[in-house]
Amino acid sequence: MADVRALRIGGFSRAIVWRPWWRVLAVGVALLLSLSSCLALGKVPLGPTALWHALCTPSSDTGLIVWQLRLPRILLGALVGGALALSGWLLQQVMRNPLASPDTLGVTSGASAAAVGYLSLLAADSGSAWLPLAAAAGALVAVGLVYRLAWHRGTTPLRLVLMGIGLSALLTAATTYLLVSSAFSTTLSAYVWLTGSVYGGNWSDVARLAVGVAVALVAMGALMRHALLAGVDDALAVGIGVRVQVMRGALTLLAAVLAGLAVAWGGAIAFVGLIAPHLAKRLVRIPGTAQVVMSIALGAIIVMLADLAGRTLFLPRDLPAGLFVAAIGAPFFLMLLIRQVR
Amino acid sequence: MNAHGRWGQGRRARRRLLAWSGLLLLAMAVSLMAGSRWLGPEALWHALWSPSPTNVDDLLVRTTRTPRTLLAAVVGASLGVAGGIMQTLTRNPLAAPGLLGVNAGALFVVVMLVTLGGDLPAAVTHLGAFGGAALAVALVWGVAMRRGHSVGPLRLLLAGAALTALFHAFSQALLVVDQQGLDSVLFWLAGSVAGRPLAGSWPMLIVALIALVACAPFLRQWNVLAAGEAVAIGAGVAVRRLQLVSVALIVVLAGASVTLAGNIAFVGLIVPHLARRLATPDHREWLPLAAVIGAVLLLLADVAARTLILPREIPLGVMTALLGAPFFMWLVRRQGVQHG
Repeated sequence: MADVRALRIGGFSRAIVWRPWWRVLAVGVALLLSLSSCLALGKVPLGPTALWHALCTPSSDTGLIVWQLRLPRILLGALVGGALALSGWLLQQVMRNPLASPDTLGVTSGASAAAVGYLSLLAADSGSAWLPLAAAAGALVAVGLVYRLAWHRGTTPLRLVLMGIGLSALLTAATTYLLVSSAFSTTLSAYVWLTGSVYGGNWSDVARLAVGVAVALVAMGALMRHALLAGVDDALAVGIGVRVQVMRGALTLLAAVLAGLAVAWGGAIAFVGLIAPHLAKRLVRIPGTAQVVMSIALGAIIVMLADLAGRTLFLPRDLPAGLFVAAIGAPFFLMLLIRQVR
Repeated sequence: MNAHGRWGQGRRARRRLLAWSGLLLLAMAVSLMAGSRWLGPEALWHALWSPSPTNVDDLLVRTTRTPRTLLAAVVGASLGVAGGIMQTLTRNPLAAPGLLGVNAGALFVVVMLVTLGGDLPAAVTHLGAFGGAALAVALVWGVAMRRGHSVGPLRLLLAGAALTALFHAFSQALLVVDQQGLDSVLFWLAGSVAGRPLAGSWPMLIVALIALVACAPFLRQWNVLAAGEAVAIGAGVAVRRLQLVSVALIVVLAGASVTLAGNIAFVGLIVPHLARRLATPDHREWLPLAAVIGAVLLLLADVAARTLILPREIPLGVMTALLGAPFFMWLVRRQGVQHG
């Protein structure tokens, strides 16, 4: 294990395994590449020099396109993807199951029900400004309910997942009812939201989401050790001295907050939370910080590229990014299912 | 056959089945009478036996309420039996077509045909729904069975939930791209037995009924299979063949249900539980009962769906989910299921 180094600064100490970070660096470069290609491509394609010029002169025509239209949307997509990926990684760790995702805890369905309810009941009066808040609140309430229902002298991953599936079904039924009973135009906009889209993202959206994700990342850093221990059997973890129930609650809450934030701004983008952590685990075998960073970067790349495909492939139409996430995710997911059989 | 009757039922079981069949008739009558316009027994009698072409009530009963009642009864029975077979086959009390992605698979194919194919004949759509159901069952089957051993409930349900999410994501995507398609399949997504003329549904109804009857010869073998695969092999049951036949029956029953009524969740989960609780764990006793209970439940759910918020209607699939999801959660809490 020549590539393990100990990093010590005062009371802070970490064992750092260097090898996976080279791959993380490579994925970071890929992230930058996809960021720049997302900036360059669109209805008005820009060459490298034109892109540089546009970036340097924000007040020119192309500068406006890049700074006011493309960049906020791309950053929003990256934040949404990263947050969903991190949430998925956390949940797979806590539930000790590679098929867990923000969907299984009722996060997505809670947010969907709240958002569609808002769109069909309140949006006519108060506009769609409060939509993210409604969605985030719905996600948190749903997770809280799942947790409460699964609580019986503590929780187990199994009961959490089962309750999540049950509550998801209930909330999906409510969503369907709202969709069927509201006006057709509302149904359409709700459907676009449900598919997941970062259409029309602006700087204030980016700023608000970035603050939320930054706070969650700090919490994540503090909880990192426990996130790694969550994969260990309950009895063993208690033996080591982990307060299992407290930590499980904290990690689940963190995952719910992350997914709630992402869903609030990006809509119900399916599968990022399932796929990105899996790819990351394939690239970085050892659970640890490198794997987490890898998950986040991959989630960001997936959503960015999906959004790029959505807004360029079928011009002049602007299709929701969730569509392409599903299209990319499906074969991967099927492979995963089949591999589970072995 | 043995000390019991033709289907091995004891007298008590036969009486129970008879009582529930009586309830079924009652539920069908209520379903014919209830609605935005309540008809008394006399009007119903008149409409059924001596209809006049000018009487509005008679027309109402014959053209809208009769098809819907028949559909609800057959779909409820099919779903109840499909769920029961699935639970026996996977040896998992939480297995059900809706939860394992079968409905979503069938719906996805239908949405794909409607949005990409345009005006296709109904038969093509129906076959497509079957294909989707079969695909989903095959996938779930592949995940649920590892080298012939059933896997725990957690893995099975997660696979089902993920599969459902996958199919839904695709359906949604297609519907966002083709927005005209949305209007025509929306009520299907929600599940409903309303407004489906019998003319187009006859073939599927008959297929479902045949599949229901076709379950009869396998009841005894399922009893043995429920005791475990090794036991079944030891007892001389051709396990592989039985499993294949069971999967085929599930595909036909669940596929026909989705084709007829769209996405109706949780009936396949609840009904077998009720039936097993009322009868003994003997398939010859509880599976027929499950068919009858399924029909009764879906009929009553449909009656509730169309009368609760008059003049509007709650989609039937929403209604069953609203009733069934709390039951599911109660089941999970009560059982404190073992680790999977």
